[in-house]
Amino acid sequence: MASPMGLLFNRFAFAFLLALGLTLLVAGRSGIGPVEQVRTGLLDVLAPVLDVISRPVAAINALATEVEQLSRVYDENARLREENARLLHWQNVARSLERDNAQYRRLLNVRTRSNVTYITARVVGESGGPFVKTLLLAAGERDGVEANQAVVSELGLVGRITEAGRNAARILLITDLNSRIPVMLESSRRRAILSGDNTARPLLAFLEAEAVVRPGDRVITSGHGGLLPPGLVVGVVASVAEGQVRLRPFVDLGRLERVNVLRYRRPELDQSRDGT
Amino acid sequence: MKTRRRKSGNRRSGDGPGLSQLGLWRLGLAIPGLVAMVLVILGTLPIGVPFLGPVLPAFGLIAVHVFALQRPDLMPHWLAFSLGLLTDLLSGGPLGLTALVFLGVQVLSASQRRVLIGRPFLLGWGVFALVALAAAVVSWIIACAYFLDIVNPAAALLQVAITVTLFPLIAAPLLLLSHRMTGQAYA
Repeated sequence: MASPMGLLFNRFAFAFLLALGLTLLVAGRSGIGPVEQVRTGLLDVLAPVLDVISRPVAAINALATEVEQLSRVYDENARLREENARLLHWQNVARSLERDNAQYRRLLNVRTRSNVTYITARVVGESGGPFVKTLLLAAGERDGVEANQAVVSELGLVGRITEAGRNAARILLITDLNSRIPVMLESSRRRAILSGDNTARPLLAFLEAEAVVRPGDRVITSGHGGLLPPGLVVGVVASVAEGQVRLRPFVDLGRLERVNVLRYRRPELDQSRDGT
Repeated sequence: MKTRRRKSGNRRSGDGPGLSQLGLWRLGLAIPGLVAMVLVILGTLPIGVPFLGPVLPAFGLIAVHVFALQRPDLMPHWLAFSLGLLTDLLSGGPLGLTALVFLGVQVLSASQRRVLIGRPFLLGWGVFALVALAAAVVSWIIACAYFLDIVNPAAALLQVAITVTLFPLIAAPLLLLSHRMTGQAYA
């Protein structure tokens, strides 16, 4: 190791690896070479391993959550009682509206197409890097998961699938720097692009200038672009300041254990053309 | 890590005779790499901490630092680089970012060997804090260049804080391990 030859080799190895690292960065950035394939392949190999070791970790996490919740059980209880009373009222409203709606649909002969089915899967890992917000999912093409499908929890939109291997997939969270989701304000139907910036509160960008937006406004997916189904709840407007509108997602993105992957078939123009 | 210096170039006799007779100790040379790999994989699992939410400590960074410092022969450039590459592949982040950072940490930590070996653990902890901070700054700069954007550095700094806090927990067993292996090196 200390011999001159060894030292020379060492220097050479360092320079080579430095160059290799830089090359990989450039190649990855510009999408040259099989970077994605290699990544998906490795995901497949490691997913079963992660699946096993993430189970005890999930148990620890559940414990941590319990400890945290124990400290505010009284407040929580009071809040839930109040919310329950409110929700019971809404339940009645929703029932009667549902009935009305069904009746009107029949009257107008509306064609509703339910083309969304879903796959439930376990989250087995999180991005190890501070610069990306992704999750690993223990389900892949074998289970029907494909790139660009929307991922939701029972509370709302989580993100979308960016890579799918045979038995594992990666979810790009809505908070990630690269995430762009077409959304709209639920009440005014004003469109915007939900644009992540690696903070917990993504930005509502390209909001129409005349749109009136207040904290607390609900935001849903608009379905534009055809990738995501319309009408998925995303979050509420958290703050409006200095021309920046930020959103608080409904889902606690740091504490997901199971999510649903939506298999959404967007309405195809070609099909209707074939039909005529 | 008291003053147990290695006599370089010697294999210590009488230590684990069964192992050395069989030549099985050679397998032990792969231990740092394997341990570091396990730590990298563990680092992708979100571990919930009450009131802090899930944190992702850079366990791999600790392994690269400790082994580069204690046993540079068992943490060569290529191993540090590969561990970083594995981290990148798992995290879905820019491929090559952590590889370069780990390579830098390996060189930096190995160069501090003369200064640090045999010094109190607290000093080692402090030096690791500086190394981790430097690594975070470098990876932040690379990330900004990669995304062509000023990336929010908060998450990186939080990760440094958590990693540095957990350092003794991970480093202590690693130090024990590398001490036990001392003397078996340089066949």
